[in-house]
Amino acid sequence: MWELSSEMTGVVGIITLFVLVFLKVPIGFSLFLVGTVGYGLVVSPQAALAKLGTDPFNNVNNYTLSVIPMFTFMGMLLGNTGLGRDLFVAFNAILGRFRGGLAMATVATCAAFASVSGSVIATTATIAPVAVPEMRRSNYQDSLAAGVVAAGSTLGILIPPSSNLVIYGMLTEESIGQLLIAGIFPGLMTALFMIITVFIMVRVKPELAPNTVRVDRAERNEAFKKVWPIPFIFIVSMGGILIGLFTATEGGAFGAFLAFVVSLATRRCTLKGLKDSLYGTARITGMLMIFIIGGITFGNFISVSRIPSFLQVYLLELPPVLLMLTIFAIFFVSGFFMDAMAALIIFTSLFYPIVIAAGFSGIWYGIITILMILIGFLTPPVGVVAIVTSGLTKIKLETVFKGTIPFWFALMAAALVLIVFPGIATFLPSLMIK
Amino acid sequence: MKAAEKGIRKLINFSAGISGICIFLIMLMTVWDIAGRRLFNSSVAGVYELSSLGLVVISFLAMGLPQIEGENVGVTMIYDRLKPKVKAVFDFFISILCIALFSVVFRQTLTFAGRMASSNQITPVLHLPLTPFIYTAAFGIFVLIVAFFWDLIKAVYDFKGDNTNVGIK
Amino acid sequence: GGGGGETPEGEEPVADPVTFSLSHFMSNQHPLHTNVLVPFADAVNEQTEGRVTINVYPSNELGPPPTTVDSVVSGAFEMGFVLAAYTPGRFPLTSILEFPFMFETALQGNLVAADMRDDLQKYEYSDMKLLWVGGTDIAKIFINKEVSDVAGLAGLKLRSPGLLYNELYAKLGATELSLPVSDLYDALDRGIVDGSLMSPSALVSFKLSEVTDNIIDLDVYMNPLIFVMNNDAWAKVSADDQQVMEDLLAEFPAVIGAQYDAEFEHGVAFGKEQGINFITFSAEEEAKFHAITDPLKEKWIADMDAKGLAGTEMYEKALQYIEAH
Ligand code: NA
Ligand code: NA
Repeated sequence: MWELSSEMTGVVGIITLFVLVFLKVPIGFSLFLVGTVGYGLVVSPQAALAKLGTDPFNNVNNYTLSVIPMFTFMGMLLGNTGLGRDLFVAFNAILGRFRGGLAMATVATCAAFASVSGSVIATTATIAPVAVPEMRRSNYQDSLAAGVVAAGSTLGILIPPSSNLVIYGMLTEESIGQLLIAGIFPGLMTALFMIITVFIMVRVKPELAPNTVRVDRAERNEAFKKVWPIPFIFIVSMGGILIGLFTATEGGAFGAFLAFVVSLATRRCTLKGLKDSLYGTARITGMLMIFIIGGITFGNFISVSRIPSFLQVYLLELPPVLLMLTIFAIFFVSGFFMDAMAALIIFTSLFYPIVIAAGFSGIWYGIITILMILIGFLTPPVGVVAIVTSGLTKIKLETVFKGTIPFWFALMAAALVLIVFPGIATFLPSLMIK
Repeated sequence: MKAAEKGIRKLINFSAGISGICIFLIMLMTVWDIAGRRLFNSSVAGVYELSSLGLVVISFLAMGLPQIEGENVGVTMIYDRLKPKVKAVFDFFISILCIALFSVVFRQTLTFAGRMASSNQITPVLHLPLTPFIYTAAFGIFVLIVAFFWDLIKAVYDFKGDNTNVGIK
Repeated sequence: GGGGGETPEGEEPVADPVTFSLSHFMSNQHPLHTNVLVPFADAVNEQTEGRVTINVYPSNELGPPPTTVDSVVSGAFEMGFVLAAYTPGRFPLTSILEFPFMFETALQGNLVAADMRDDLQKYEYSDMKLLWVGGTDIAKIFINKEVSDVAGLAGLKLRSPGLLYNELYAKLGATELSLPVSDLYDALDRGIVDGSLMSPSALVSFKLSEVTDNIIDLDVYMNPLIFVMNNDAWAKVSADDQQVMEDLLAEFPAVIGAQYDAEFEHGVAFGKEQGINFITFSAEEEAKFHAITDPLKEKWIADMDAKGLAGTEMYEKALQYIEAH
């Protein structure tokens, strides 16, 4: 007989979740399993059993989420057309002459590519194979080369489009259009902070990036001529959302379609490229949906356990800035061993009601949440982006993790600036309301 | 054994292929709808429900793929320190756990489909019955279970110390 | 199960105490949550001396609204309070409550619905217990174009609240779009839709006053709400305690009707305060509108009868009850 109170059941559930995850049970499945069993204990076993049949279908049968494959497809398709390389060459033409310029160009390339890709993994997969060999050729140390690619890739979901902001919006019922638009300035600011980080690093330790690169004029002009699809697609798809030509959900399909047309028009769309992009998109969507199904089930369990209202009593006692710093600390610590997606889902269900009750903007908190999970993408041992970067570049995982450390501070600085100046996130969305 | 592997691969790729086609079609449909609405003041009926049901098809049919690609990961911090045989035992039990969980999900989804079939519930605009889409989801879950069997087979080979037969990472 | 339920100290319950979960889609600030559902749960617990505990979960915490009815039937949770329109096609006879120009106030609509409860239970809620059936405040037409007559509605993109109104829009020459209320704010703001049939209370609760320019001042229809319970769960409650619940539920129609009428008045006043233009159709245009909506009822009755459902019977009863209230 289960005698624990619902709150204690919730706590036991959270602990069990971590145990399972550490035993290598895939995170989406762990969330699903613990959520189901916990719900069964708090509500009733029949209830949990019934939810097993209905929830996977019902949670996926969701119009808002249908934008996720679109945002992913957009990035996949453009990645397969070689646009990543063109972008890198173009930014290199501007930044390559400075010390650490290739690394700065990598950040800029990531930021630019992020504006047409809604997935971190798609961004890493596009930029890492292009940028890392170039940096190695210029005798950059592996830690910087891999670290900057991994860190820069995280911009993929801060700068719109962003699958993760869509998931946040779905969980909180905040306007997805406003959330996406809100990411623009914080994304650019974070990119700038990363470039500054590189600048400082190579000043302090010049051996990280011993050589500079000069790109000749002809090559530079050639490169610039090829990158027009990026601003074109970004301005049309995100601008269309901003001025109300279509909804955020439709904007995803429209952007993907533009990416398709552009890759046809520039004759860089092979049948194989299209097929690979569709398979890749299916794979990422399938992976994300398992997370979403598991995450929502776990979220339901956390709701019925009443832990959020329990936490609320204590956390709402804190002054607002201290509350945010506490949440930030929780994100940071758990980011080491918790998957970023899982953190997004679990902490949104835990903290969002508290943050709103404390009087903060839900749009702003969405951007803060994304910034906080970005650090988790990079921190060992569970740092998905670092792991993917290591896999793509064959650079040792420890080296990648080490290389990302300076960029944690760039991300933290961005979050702190955003706490002090919320307008950086809320200004653009405020223009959308008449 | 090779034949079984090949069959599993084929099934998962086929399923993901339909998912990919569906992604492309939903993209086209949405753009057609925006264009129709903005240019000719006529929209495609039921884009809203077709998109969400389309996502059901896309998501469930794609679920097996990341599983055999080894992308649904947990934390390997402890796991990495284990001896190969212990690792194989670990993988074996995790696969069994996932197969058990999703077998229940599969069965309950079929029950759900049966209930929906008898309740006459339809989509609001196109009046589509939900049942076929729930069966599609159930099929996707079945494919996912098959993918777990792949892991199970691999764990058995790993335990025997024979890694040559299964060509996945 | 039932880890969340606590029996009062020092009480020795006679029957096995039961704990039910009640899921609904409104926020925990919504008057129906604070003034109706939570007090109901408290009263049930108190009057059954702890034998029946109801935990109320607001804001879709247990799952999205379109799944509420199925979750109740399957037993995922025992009680659900939801708009009938979320399960199109499932309760065809209940949609009689959403007929155009049936009711003048939410109170009237709720009293009539209460009279129809037993018949509806018999005809289309056999797989669950229909605790209560009623509706929201009467919807008007929110519109972001200057419209002075029925013809002006042609060519507009309107959000449809349900199957019946798809047909109305087709007759008006309007394009219907189907989206959930939660997306309506954005859709109106972005011009994705030009308008929607909507209850004035939503001007406040969904902040629609911020994105609505005009409202056509016709009281078109009531959006039906249902409160359902799992059959097995209902059977676990002793006959005496069932009676306790029924007595408390008997107060719902008057309370909820009055509550929504107050929300309606508040919404209209708030809308006017916010500068929303209330358009009044001339008597002639109003008659034209009725001429379009009246045949919808006849078609509905014919459709139901053709399907072997009690269309005519329910319509005649409804008219009787309307007469009475
Ligand atoms: Na992006
Ligand atoms: Na991490």
